[in-house]
Amino acid sequence: MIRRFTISLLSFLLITGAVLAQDECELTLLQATEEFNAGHLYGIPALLKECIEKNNNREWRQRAYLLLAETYLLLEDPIGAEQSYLNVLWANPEFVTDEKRDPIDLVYLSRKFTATPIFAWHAFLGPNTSIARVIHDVRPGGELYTKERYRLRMGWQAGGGLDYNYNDYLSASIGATFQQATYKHETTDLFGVNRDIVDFIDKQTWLAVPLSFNLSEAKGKLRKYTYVGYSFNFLLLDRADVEIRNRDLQLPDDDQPPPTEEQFSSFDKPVSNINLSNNRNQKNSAFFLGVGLKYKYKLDYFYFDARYSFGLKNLANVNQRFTTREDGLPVPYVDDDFRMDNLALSVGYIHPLYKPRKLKKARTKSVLRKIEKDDRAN
Amino acid sequence: MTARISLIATLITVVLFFSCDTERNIAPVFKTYFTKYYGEDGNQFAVDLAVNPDGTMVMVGTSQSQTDQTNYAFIVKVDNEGTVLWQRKMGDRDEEPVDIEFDSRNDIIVVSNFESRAIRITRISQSGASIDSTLIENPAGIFGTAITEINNATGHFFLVSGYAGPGLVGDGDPVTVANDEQDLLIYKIDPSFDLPPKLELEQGGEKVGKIAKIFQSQINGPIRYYRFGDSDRPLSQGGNFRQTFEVVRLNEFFVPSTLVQAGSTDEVQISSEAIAMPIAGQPGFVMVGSTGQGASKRIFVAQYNDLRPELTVRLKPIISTPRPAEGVSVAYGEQESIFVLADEQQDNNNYDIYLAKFESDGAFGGEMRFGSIEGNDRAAAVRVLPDQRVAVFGTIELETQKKMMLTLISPQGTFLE
Repeated sequence: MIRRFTISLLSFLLITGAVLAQDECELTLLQATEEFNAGHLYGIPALLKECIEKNNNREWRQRAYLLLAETYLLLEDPIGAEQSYLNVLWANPEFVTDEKRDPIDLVYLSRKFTATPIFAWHAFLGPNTSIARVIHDVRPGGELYTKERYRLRMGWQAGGGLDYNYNDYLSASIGATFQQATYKHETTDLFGVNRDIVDFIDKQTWLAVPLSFNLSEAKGKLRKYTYVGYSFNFLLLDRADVEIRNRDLQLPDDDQPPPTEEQFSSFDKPVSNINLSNNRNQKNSAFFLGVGLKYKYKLDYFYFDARYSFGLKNLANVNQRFTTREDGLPVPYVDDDFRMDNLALSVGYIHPLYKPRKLKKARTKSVLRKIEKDDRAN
Repeated sequence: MTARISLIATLITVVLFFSCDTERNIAPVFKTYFTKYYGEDGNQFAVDLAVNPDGTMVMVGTSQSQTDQTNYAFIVKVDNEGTVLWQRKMGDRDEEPVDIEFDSRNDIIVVSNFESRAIRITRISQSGASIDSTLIENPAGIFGTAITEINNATGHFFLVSGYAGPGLVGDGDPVTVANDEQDLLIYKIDPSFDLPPKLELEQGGEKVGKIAKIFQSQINGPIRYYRFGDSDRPLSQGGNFRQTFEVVRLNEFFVPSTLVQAGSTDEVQISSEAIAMPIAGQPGFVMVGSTGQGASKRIFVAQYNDLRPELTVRLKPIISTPRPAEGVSVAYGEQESIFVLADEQQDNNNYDIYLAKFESDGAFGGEMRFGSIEGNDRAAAVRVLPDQRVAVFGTIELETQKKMMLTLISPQGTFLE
C-alpha cells in the first residue's frame, strides 16, 4: 500500500514538474518573441538557451529554433542560422517553410536543407492465396475423361524490409518474407466416370527476398503508392495432405429391387504430411506488382498493401515427378508442370529513419527568382 | 526521362518473358517418360504387356471388385504416351489371363485360365472387339502359361504351353502318380479356332515343372522346337528332385530329345519367362526366374545360343539384391542389353518392383525400384518399345486399391530425355 502510494506521488510530482517547466519555457519563448519583435536580437540566444537544454517538447523546440534561425539571419550569422534550422528539422523532420507565412530569407535558408528520410524500415503481416498456372497437364491415369482443377486456399505471410528513398516519390526496397502458401488440387473421374476423387492439399513454406521499385505520393494523410519488383524465392518445406475417395459402383443386391440410380460405396483414406520437398524445384523467382495506401500517423505510416506475384519457374521437379518411394507414396496423384502466382494482402507499418541534413545542391532558384521579382516590384 | 523509363521497362519485360517457364521452354517429357495407373472399380492386378510396332501397348490383368472377390480379365490398350485408347473387361467370371501376344494378322491373342479347369484362347482386334475364342478343357485340371504362333513348312498354328494337375500323366518315370504334382503339356491350336485343340505333348516324369514358352529354332535345318521352362527332372541329379532351368529340344512331331539344364544342383531354379533375342548378332534366347528359396532367393538369368547341333548355355548371371528377389520378366534392348524385372521382398514381407539392366557381356548396368514402402507391389512384365524406351508393367498398391502401373523410362533408367 505504501509502495503504491509512493509511486503515485512520484508520478504526480514528475508530471507536475514537467508541466510547470513547459509553462515556464512557453513564457520564455513568448518573451523571446517579444524581444525579437522589438528588435532586441542579441539577447535572444541566451534567453532561450536554458529552456532549449531542458525542454524536449518537439513542438516548442521547433518554434524556438525557428525564432533562433530568424534571429541569426538578421544578425547575419549564417552558421548559427543553419544550425538552428537544422535543429528545427530534428524537432520536426517534416517542417516545411511557407512563402506566405515565413520571411523569405528563412524560406531561402530552408531550401538548403532536407529531412527526407534516406532509409525506412517496414514490417507487414497478412493473408495470401496461391494460383497455380499449369504449364503442362499431367494425369495420374491414362483416361482422357479424368478431370483436374485447382482450388484457392488461404495462406499467410509476414516479413519486413528496408526502403531506400531516392526522393520523396521514388524509393527502392529489399526485404525478407516468410510465406505459407497453399492450394488444393482435385482429381475427379479417376479410374472411371464418376469414380475416384483425389484431393491433394499442398502446403509450402517459402522464404522470399523481394527487390522492388516504388512510386509514392509525397503529401497528404493518405498516400497511394505502387511498385514493381523481382523476388528470389526459396522453398523451405513442402508437405501435402492427400485424401483418396475410392468410389466403386455398388453392385445390386439380388434380394432387393434394382436401384433407380447408380449407388457408390466409397473407401476413403487420408494420408497426411507427405514430404514433397524433393518433388519441387526449391529455387524459384517471381515478378510482382503491387499497390497500396499509406496512412500517415505522426511521423510513421500504417499501410495496406495488395501484391500480385507472377511465379516464373516450374515448381515441379521433372526429375522427381514419378519418384514414388518417398514418404508413403504412391498415391494416385502426380504434379503438373506449373508455376505458382500469389495474391497477398498485407497490413504493415513504416518507420522512416529521418535524417535532417544540408543539401549538397541547394534548391534555392525559385526563391531567388521570387526575391528578385519582389525587389523589382518594390 | 520517359524514354529511359520505357526502355528499362521494355528490357525488364523481355528478360522476364524469356526467364519465365512456359510450354515453349518446358519440354513435355512426361509424355515420353511417365508412370500411369490403370484400372476400374476394385483392384486390378497386372499380368502381361505386349507392344505393337507402332508403340501402342496392350496390357492385360485381372480385375476384382472390392466386395466380390471374383476375378475377371481386364484389358487396356494405350497409345505410346500412355493414354487409354480402349479398356474393358473380357471373358467370364474367374477368368485369369496369363499371356498376351500379337499374331501374324496383328490381332491380340490372350491366354487365360479358368481356375484349374480350362484354358481359353481369345482373339481380339486391335480396336478391342472380340473376334473369336477357343477352349482347352481337361477334367484333371489344366493351366496355360503362354502361346506361340508357328508358321513353317508343317503349317500355321498356335502352340499353347502349360501344365496339368497331378495324375494326368503317369508315364512310368521314377515319380509315382501319387507324388506327381505337375506335368507338362503342349497343345496345338488351329489359327481359325474352328478345329478342336490337339494335345501334342504330355510329359511326365517330374513332380513339378512348367513350360514358360515354346520357340521354334531360328537356325536353318530340320524343324525343331525348344520348350523353355523348369523341371525337377532327376536325370542329371542322381535321383534328387530339384527344380532347374531346362530347355528341351523337340522335333517337328514334338518328340523330346536333348535336354539342356542351367542352374545349380544345390539350389532350386524356377523359370518365369523366356524370350528370343539376338546374341552377338546370332539367334538366341534368354530365360529369367529365380534361384534359391526363402531368404536366399535371387534372380537367375540364363542366356542360350541357338546353335546346331545343340542349343548351348552362354551366360548364367545371378543377380544378388539386398533382399530376396525373384525374376519375373525379361526384355532386350539396343546392343543386346538385357532388362530383368523382378519382385523384391521388403523387410515387411511386402514386395517392390525391381528392374536391373545387364550389358551384352553380362556386366551389371544399373537398377531401379518402383513401388511404395508400405505397399505390396508386384512386377508383371518388362518390354522395350521400338523407340527403345523401357516399359515396366506391374501392380501397385495405391493406399486404398491395387492398380495396374505402366512406367516408361529411358534405357538409362531415367525419366529424362
